[in-house]
Amino acid sequence: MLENILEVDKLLFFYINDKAGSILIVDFFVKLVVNEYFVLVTLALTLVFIWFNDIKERSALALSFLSVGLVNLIIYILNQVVDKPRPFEDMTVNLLYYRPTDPTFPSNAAAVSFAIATAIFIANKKLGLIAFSLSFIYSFSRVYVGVHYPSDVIIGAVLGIGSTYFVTKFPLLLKNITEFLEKVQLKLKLNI
Amino acid sequence: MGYFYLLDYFFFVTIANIGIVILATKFHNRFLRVLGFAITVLSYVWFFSSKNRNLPTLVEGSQLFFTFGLGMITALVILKFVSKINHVRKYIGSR
Repeated sequence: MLENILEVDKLLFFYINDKAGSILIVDFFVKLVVNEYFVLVTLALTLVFIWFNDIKERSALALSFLSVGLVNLIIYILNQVVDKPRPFEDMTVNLLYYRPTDPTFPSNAAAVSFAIATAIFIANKKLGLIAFSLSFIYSFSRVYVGVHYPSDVIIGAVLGIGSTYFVTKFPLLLKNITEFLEKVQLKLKLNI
Repeated sequence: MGYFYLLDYFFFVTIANIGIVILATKFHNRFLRVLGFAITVLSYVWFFSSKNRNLPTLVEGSQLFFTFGLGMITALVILKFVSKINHVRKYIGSR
């Protein structure tokens, strides 16, 4: 069963990665979003926007902090147990990115981006749909450039979404952290 | 090399945060809304066109996280300063 899943994973990887390097405009956009900056900064800026634009939904920031922390902890634990090589480590792939040295499974990039996107979605459905789209494109780009298998990003996404929904079960903690951040902002006189 | 990269990132997120805060707090004012959006977009254009950002650096995720926070605080300080100057200017103008 596991072998079949790994085989399908490889086939899907090659179906996506085979196109890398052949369509210039797609390569250009993928290279723009695949790094650690574009999508994650955009998601973080969206949280800043929500903080200053919609006082009622400020807890999205605290929700993101906690869910990203939780998902990173889960990934750290999984990395001790699962030692899956990157696609470029045991196959010839079309590599359009540098070779990361951290474990491939699950995808940290997918997990963090989907965790933040879920927090944004809970606060604002419209912005959340845009955030989910960006996270999907980001995760897809990681497979396209040859640094992740599809299963890495799928499981990463599931962990990210799951972590955020788990954290929503602690509304009092979220409220306390949000109020603390508001107090810090007032104390530093950074309210605009 | 890693720390120069972090400096670039700091400038990027500071300018982007200035734009986003203007966009968020002055959403009702069309001119300022467009200005905020333009500042944010220009920060992206500068950051991604000035260097190849798909290279390995010594910079880690936690450093990026804290630098983003620092950039946001710096952006708020700058906006507060500009707002104060504007307030003083208007006060002097009205006398």
